[in-house]
Amino acid sequence: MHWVVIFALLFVSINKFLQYTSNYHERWVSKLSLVKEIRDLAENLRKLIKERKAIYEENRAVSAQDNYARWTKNNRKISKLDKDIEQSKAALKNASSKQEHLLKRVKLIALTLPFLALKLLKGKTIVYDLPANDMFPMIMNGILTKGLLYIPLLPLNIVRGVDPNKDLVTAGVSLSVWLMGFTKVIDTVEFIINQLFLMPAVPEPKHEKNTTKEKELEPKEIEELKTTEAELD
Amino acid sequence: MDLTVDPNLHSLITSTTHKWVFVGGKGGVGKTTSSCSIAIQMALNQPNKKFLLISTDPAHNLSDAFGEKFGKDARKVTGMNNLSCMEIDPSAALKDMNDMAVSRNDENGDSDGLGELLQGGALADLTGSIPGIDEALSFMEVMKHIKSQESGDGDSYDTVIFDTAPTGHTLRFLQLPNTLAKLLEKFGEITGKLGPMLNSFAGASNVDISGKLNELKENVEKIRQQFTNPDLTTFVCVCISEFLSLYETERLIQELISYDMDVNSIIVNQLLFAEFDQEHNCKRCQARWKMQTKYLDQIDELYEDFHVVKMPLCAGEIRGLNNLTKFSQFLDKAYDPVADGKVIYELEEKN
Repeated sequence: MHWVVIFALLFVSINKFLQYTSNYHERWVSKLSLVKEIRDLAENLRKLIKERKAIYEENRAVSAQDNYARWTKNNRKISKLDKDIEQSKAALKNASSKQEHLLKRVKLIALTLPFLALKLLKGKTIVYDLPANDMFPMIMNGILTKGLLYIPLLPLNIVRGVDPNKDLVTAGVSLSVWLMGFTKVIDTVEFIINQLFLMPAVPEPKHEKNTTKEKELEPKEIEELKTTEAELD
Repeated sequence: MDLTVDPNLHSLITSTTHKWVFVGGKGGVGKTTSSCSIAIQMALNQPNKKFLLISTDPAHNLSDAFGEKFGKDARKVTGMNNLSCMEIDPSAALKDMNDMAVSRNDENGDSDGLGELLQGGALADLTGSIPGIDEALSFMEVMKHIKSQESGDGDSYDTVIFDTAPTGHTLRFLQLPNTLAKLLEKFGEITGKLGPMLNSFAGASNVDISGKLNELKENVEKIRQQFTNPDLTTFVCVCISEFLSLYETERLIQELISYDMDVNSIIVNQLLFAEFDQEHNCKRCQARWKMQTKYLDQIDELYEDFHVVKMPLCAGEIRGLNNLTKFSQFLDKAYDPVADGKVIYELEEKN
C-alpha cells in the first residue's frame, strides 16, 4: 500500500477515535496530567461527586416524614456538597485551561496541519487505477483523477484553449476524492449503527379511531324532516 | 458547662441591643399572633423603651389581632404606653407620593398634561400593582426609621418588630439591600459617566441625581450592615409541627443563613399536648399529638442550638390585648402543660 494511503488512513482513524471518545477527554487529561495540582483537584472532584451520589441515594431510601431530622441533615450535606463541587469544578477548569490550550495546539500541529498538508500536496496521488480510461465520462474521469478543483477550473481551461485532460494518462481515483468517499461511507455506517442499535425505539403513533359515527338516517326519518320544513314555510 | 439552649425567648425579650426583629414563616402558622406576643412581652419587660410593631404583610392582620384599627401612621396600642402598631398600606403610600408629585408640579407652575394625569392618582394606579411594591414600601419605611433615629426627628423607636408576609415575600424583602446595592453600583457607574446629562433630563427641578443616588446607596449600605449584625437584627421562625411547615422553615433558615442574617429562634405553634390533658382528650387529638411529637423530636435533634419555643393550641382565638398577653407569657417562660394547662381555656371571647 502506498505510504500516502497509510498516513491518510492513520489520520482518519485518529480523528474518528478522538471524535468517539470526546466525552472522556477531560477525565483522561485530569487523570494523566503531568501537573500534580490538576491531578489532585480532579481526584478531589471525583470524591465529592461520589460522596454526593451516596448521600443522595441514602436520602431516597429514607422516608422524609418518618426520619425528618436525618433526611434534612442529608439535604444540608447535599447542598454543601453541591457548592463544593461547583467550586472544585471552577478550580479544576482554571488549573487545566492552560493545559487544554497546549493540547489543542499539539493536536493542531501533530494532526490537523499534517493531514491538511497531505491532502493539499498529495491530493492528486492516484490511490487505485480504473480498469479503463473510458469507463466514465471525460468530466467524471477528470474529477476522479484530479479532485473537485477540476470543476471550477474546467471552464477556465476551455476559455484558454487548454485541454483539461492533457496530463491524464490513466484514469484513476485520487487521494482527495477517495478520502471524501471513504469518510462518507464511515459516516453512513455510523448513522446506520446508531439508528439500529443505539437510538431508543420510537413507538409507532397510534391513530385514534373515530368513535362517533354519523347516524345514518332512515328514509322514514328523512320524510318526517321534509314535512317539518314544509310546515315552517 | 451547660450547653443546652433555653426553650424560650427570654434573651430576646430582655435584649437591650436588638433593633430589628423579624417574625416570619409559612402562611397560617401564627406569625401575627407570635409577632404581637413578642412585641407585648418586650414592651412589658422593658417599660422604659419604645417598641413598634409593623406589618409588612399586604393582607394585614394586626388590627384584627388587637381588635382595634391601625393605619399607615404608628399608633399606640390601647392599654400599652410603649407599644405602637403600624400597617403599611401600599395604595395609601403611593397616593401620598402621587399628591406630593402633584403639589410639586403646581409649585413649579406647570399646568400641562402631566399634572392632570397625576391629579387623577395615575401614579398610584400605575405602580400600585407592581409585584414587589409591598416589599419596596416596607423597605422605605425601614429607611425612614433609620433616618429619623439618626436625626432625632419625629418618633423614634428602640426596637421595631416586623410581622412579615409568608416566606417568599419576606425573603424578597430581605434581599432588597443586596439587590439595591448592586443596582446602585451599576447606576453609579452610569451617572459617573453621564451625570450632567442625566441632571438635564430631570428638567428645571434642579435634581442632583448623582447626589440622590449616593445618599440612597449610603442608606442601603447602613441597612445591610444592621441586618447582618446579630446583635441588632434577628429572625424568629414560626412553624407548626407538620412536615410541610418544617420543610419550609428549614429552607427559610438556610436562605437566611446565606444572607448572613442571625436566626436562632423557632416558635412551634398549635401544639396539642394531648397526653397531659386528661379531661379534654379525644382520639383525634391523641392521633394528631402523636404526629406532632414525632416531628418535635426531630426538631429538637435538628435545631439543638436554637431556642425552640413550644406553644400550645388554645381553646379559643388569641385576639385582643388581654388574650395576647396571657398567651405571650409562654414565650418568656416555657409552657408547662401540667402547670399552665388551664390557661389555654381561660381566654376571653372576643367579639
